Amino acid sequence: MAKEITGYVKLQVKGGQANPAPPIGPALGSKGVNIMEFCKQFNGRTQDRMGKVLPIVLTVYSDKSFDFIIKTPPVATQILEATKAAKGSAEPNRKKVAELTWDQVKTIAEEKMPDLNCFNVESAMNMVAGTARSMGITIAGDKPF
Amino acid sequence: MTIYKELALTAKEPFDENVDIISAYLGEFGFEGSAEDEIIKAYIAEELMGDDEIVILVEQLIEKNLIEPTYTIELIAPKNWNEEWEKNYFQPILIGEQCLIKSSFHQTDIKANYEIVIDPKMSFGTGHHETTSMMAEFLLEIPMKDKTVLDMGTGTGILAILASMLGCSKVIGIDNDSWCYENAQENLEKNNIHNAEIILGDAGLLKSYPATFDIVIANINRHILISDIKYYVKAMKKNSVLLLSGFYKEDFDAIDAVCQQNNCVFVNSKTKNNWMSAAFKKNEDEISK
Repeated sequence: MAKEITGYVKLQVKGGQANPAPPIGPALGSKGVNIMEFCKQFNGRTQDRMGKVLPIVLTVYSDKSFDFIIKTPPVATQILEATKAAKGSAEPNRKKVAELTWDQVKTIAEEKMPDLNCFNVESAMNMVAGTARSMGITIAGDKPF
Repeated sequence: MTIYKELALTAKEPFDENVDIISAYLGEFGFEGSAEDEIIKAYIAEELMGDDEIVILVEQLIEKNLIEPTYTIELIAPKNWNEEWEKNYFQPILIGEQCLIKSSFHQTDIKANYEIVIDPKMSFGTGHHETTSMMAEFLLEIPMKDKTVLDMGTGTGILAILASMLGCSKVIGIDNDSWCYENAQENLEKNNIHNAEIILGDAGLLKSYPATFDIVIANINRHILISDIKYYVKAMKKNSVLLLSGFYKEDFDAIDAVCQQNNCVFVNSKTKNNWMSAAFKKNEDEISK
């Protein structure tokens, strides 16, 4: 019989460096999950992505066991990387006018296809462009399709 | 121990997409975080960012219509986040039919030759994880009487305690985490162990222990093992034993190669659920380098 799921937690943590401090401690501890067991498994599975911030979706079961999947970086992170919009800025209040090209949108869409509910790259590109717009980032030039 | 700032935010709909966008922004500024449905909790070490800077960041997210305008910033003091699991779900475990691990509040009828009390808090090593139980099995199999033992990455001190109970003359446990340093000492006391010492630090400390140990145990992870094996070996006597754990079966070749470069030969191994523990022996005719 399948185990009963009691909740999902999304985590953003650095590969190979999980420890029981926040965010892992408070997020998992309150659910009765063995934090140390999670850290050991996570660090083992991400030892080749040391220090890179990875999005995790953790499923907690009623017997307090858990599973987790490591996703590709979210579209929003890839957009930020592509624009270098806020990267390392010491002044978060500085106005940043960011722009992406359709080529960059396509690259992100292709990379992210496995996680998106899209049948073709054009609809994936539309989704990426939509996320960029919600972030206040404009796309330069005319849509290529 | 680090004090963190916790920034709690509520994402606007569509939650899934907005949570990703908010997390990406916060990640750029060094936050790590968790999210359940629309509630996001993001954390940063207290000294890395002032409240005024956090407020500016949050106002940008409000301006972009990604979050609700109510939010909180709180200081989070270090605490035992694992307490819930420890109290309610940590069960006694018997390893190799000889060694029972239980918490100080556990009542059990199980009898064993060696009974170890561990209150793990946030340290690694309760015997439930494959990497620890295989190491305990190794210790139960090899002669320990009057040996000097080094336990790298001692965690709760579980393996150091077992080594002491098995009759070794002296144990040194080293861990670089201050939680573990305190916790291992508490556990030594609970088990009346008087010939073990816990030191806060890393493999750099081993310079003070040249050719000292008969048995070195290290249950850590692939990266740290690969970079530190050379220091362990220098702290080992001739013909001494090196027990390594905390890596996957597929990482064995990389570990074995480093051991060979450091004059250690593979003896045998154990595997459980793709985790592996391996025993090596330091070669007799080592040429001093």
